[in-house]
Amino acid sequence: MAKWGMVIDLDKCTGCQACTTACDMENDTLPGESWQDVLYYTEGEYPSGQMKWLPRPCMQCEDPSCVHVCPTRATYKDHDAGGIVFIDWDKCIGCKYCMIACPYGVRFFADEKPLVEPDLKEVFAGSGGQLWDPPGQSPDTDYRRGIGVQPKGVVSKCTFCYHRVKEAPEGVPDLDEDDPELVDYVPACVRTCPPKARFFGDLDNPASNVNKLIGNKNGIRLKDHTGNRPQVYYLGAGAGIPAFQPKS
Amino acid sequence: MSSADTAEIRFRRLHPDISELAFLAEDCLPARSPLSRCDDCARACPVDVLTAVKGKLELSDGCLRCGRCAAACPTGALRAADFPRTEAMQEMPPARDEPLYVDCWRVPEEVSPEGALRVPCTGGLDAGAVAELTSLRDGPVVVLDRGWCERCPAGGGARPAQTALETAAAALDAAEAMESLLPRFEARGLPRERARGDGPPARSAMTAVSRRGLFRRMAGEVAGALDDTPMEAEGEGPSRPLRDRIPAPPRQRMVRALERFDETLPASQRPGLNVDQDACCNQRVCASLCPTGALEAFDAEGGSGLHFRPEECIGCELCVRVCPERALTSYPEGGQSGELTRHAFRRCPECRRPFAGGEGRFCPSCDKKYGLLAGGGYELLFGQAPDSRAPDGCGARVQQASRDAASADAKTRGSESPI
Repeated sequence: MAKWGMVIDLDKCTGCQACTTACDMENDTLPGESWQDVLYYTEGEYPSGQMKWLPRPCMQCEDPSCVHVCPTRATYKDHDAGGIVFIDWDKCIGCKYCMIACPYGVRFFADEKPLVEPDLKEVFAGSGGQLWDPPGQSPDTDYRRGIGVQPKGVVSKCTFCYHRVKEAPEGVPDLDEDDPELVDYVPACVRTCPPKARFFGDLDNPASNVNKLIGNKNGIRLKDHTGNRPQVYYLGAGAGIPAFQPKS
Repeated sequence: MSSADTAEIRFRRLHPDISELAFLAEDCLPARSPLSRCDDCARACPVDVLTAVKGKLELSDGCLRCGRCAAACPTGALRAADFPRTEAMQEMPPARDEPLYVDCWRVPEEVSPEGALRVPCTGGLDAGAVAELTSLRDGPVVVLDRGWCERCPAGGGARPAQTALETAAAALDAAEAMESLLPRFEARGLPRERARGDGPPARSAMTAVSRRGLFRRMAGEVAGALDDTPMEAEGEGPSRPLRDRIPAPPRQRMVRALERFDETLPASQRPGLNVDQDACCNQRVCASLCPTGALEAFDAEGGSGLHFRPEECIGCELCVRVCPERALTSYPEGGQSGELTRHAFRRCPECRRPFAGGEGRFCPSCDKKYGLLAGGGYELLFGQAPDSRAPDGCGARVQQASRDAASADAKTRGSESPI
């Protein structure tokens, strides 16, 4: 089985948040909750302030802290599904221990306060245990893997769009959005990224484009000292608005 | 259909041939969380046919149907037929000094005193049931010691009901019940030749029981109810029951019984929890994991914290074991009902949302955001090492967040891994 990995090139990322929107729509995440955030950081002060950003999906760690702490074994790393970390919503009790343990902050709990008024969760009130019924809901639902609209009281997270990726033909090195044969199996954030800053492929396949990118452009993993070994790599020298240089 | 009825349907047989023993996995502590190491039922089994490994109960051939496992279960997840279910009983006219004799099925019926409660094995009574029988009748429970339990395969000792009786007696005594009401043994030896069979007789041999006494009838009703204990239905998916609180009937029986004697529970029946206020970060994992809801999280106007009710606590210690900060300690007696912690709400300077608990300046999610830059992330984004001298720049916040993260890491790693 493949080991799915993602490469995000920060030299190309424009911080447009199209990935965030695509993810929200693809996965019907709750209003105010995004599995794929873009974080913004500022440094320095006017007039030499800088702003940088960092798109942050779940890192699908090879040694995930969240899995180690889960008191009900609801969250697990599925090696048969490309090493994606899932949450079994049938087992999750919403204790949020995984959220405490995750060094990347990519797990979410449904009790987030509404960010917009009126609260869309009330406008599209949920039925059948779902927290909301979004218009045009995706047909994919798999509670054992945390796919679908979540029920009350569970933690949710990025699934690398497993409902798409699982349909990919066996043994493909990369899921490239430019390949018409494969475009339907590409995760939503990768598919939608306007500057094509994201790449998705098999980290176990030495011939894959993601492995070449990581090797040639010195891909790094965030917080590598924790030993979590993410399956998401970053390239480049930082996406952002360069510091203002006054003309002398 | 009430939730109690649904639970009734969800009870499953452990063994296809043994309808007398029913199991409700969603109420079993180790089945709910691998953190629980409870194996009281397996240890209580006198013939070692019940095994409990990682929340999976297995019953092999040779079960005596003595009910010892069910009596040992702290949450009532195991239920044995033909024992009185005191929660279904009504209060009875006071019996005062008239004792309720409890006899085992091996004793010939004509030898048992009139109106005696006959059960498959006296060891299958739990302390809560004994106490509740006492309080419902307002009369003492007297278990007859026929002198042959020692050599009965289901016996496991001279008096299988010893612990249950002693516990019930101590609790009732502490609740200031009259001494004449305390449960006790009475030795009424019978020659062993008069015993029926070599162990608790099969149920079929007992169905012809004449319905003399009230309690025997009660037991009979339960027997009928368990006759159609469903087998495991194929392909049936559990419907997320682990999140619900469980009622823990044995504990409820005891509490109900004691409350009839004394409004406040005696100190010996009130387990307690201590919280190290400095260590607690209001993560509330403990409350989420509490099986009975004795420990609850609250969010009020003035703050957020934990609330504890000792009468619902079964002393499983899951809260103590799961705390990421190791801030909880339990003590067996004298616990008080009420708030354990209260953390004031603060506003995160970064995202402007209110949060409670923790030592850092930022809310947990903003902490994570800056924590991401701490381990090389800053250099990745900004191309240089962070400058912490800037008054409130990103560099300064990275330093702060990495300090917070380091202390949180140290705490989280201190807790044992559940696997």
